[in-house]
Amino acid sequence: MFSTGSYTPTYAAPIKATGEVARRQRNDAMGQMAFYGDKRQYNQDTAAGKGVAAGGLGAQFRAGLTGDMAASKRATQAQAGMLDYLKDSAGEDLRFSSGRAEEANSLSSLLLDRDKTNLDFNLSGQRRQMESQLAQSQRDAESKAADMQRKTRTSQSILGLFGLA
Amino acid sequence: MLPKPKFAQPPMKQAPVTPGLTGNFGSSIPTAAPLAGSQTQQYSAMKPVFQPQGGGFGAADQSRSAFARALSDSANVGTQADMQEFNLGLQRKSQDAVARDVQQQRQIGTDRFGMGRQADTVRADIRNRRAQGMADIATKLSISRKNANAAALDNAVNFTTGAMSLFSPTGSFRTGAHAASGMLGGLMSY
Repeated sequence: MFSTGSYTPTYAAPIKATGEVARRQRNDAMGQMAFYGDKRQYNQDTAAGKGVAAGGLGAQFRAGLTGDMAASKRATQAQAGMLDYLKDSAGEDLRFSSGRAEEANSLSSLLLDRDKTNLDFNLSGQRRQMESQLAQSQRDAESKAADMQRKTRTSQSILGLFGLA
Repeated sequence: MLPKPKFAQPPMKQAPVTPGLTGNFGSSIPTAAPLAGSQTQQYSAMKPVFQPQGGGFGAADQSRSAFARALSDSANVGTQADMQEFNLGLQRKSQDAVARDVQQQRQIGTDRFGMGRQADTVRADIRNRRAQGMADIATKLSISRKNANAAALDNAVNFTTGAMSLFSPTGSFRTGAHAASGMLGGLMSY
């Protein structure tokens, strides 16, 4: 039939990203967080120039809130990117586990089919062998019975030749 | 004497060789929450981005700090909810995969068990057929042997009768010939 190892499972390990890209994206987002969170760039323009000692306390407060929101956005991106990587990794673990189990069951089913084929073949051979042996025994018994009948018939014929049978 | 038949009969009964269905099916698919524990701790908690430096705007600082905490809190809660939903979804999928895996194992185990039982049945049929066939042959041969023995006994009687005639005072050539043929026939019967 097939060579050894034909029924070896092929699933070896889950295929995952190394995480290096995700870590670099996270680091970039964390680095951008400080830049985008600087409130001075959100201050209103003044005669002295954009963002330099600009506006009153209210304006600076609003600029601070805007900066905080911008920084939070980058921080959330940093979290989400890394968590997406972890999600993909966990999903790949499940895909690998279920795929490997599916393949193992398929292989078991194939081996069952193979064993059933071999078993049917062997049982059929045993039945034919039994029938052949039985027929041979039948022929031997008939031959032996015929021998016995022939002997007695011959003796009877000899006796009958002289009218004694 | 006639030879006895040499057709031995195989045993009629034999214990089934197929092992019973033991069960104990299991799956290697994990069903635990994938994003739990310290692995994600560092990514799930975001600290407030604004830290009051002191000597600033007083109430305004507190207000900004509260706003920043609200941002981080909502982000953290959103992240936790997202993680929880992902965990639950993946656990549901894992449970489905485990159920399918175990069910397939049950199906294959049951099929294999049935195959073994079917083989036992076929082997029993073969043994039964052989035993019945051998019994039929032995019976026929026994009948033939008894018939032959009866005929031999008949010939022996004829042989004895002929011998008595041969040695009788009133014996003649004819009776002597009868005795000779009887003796020959009787001997051939053995």
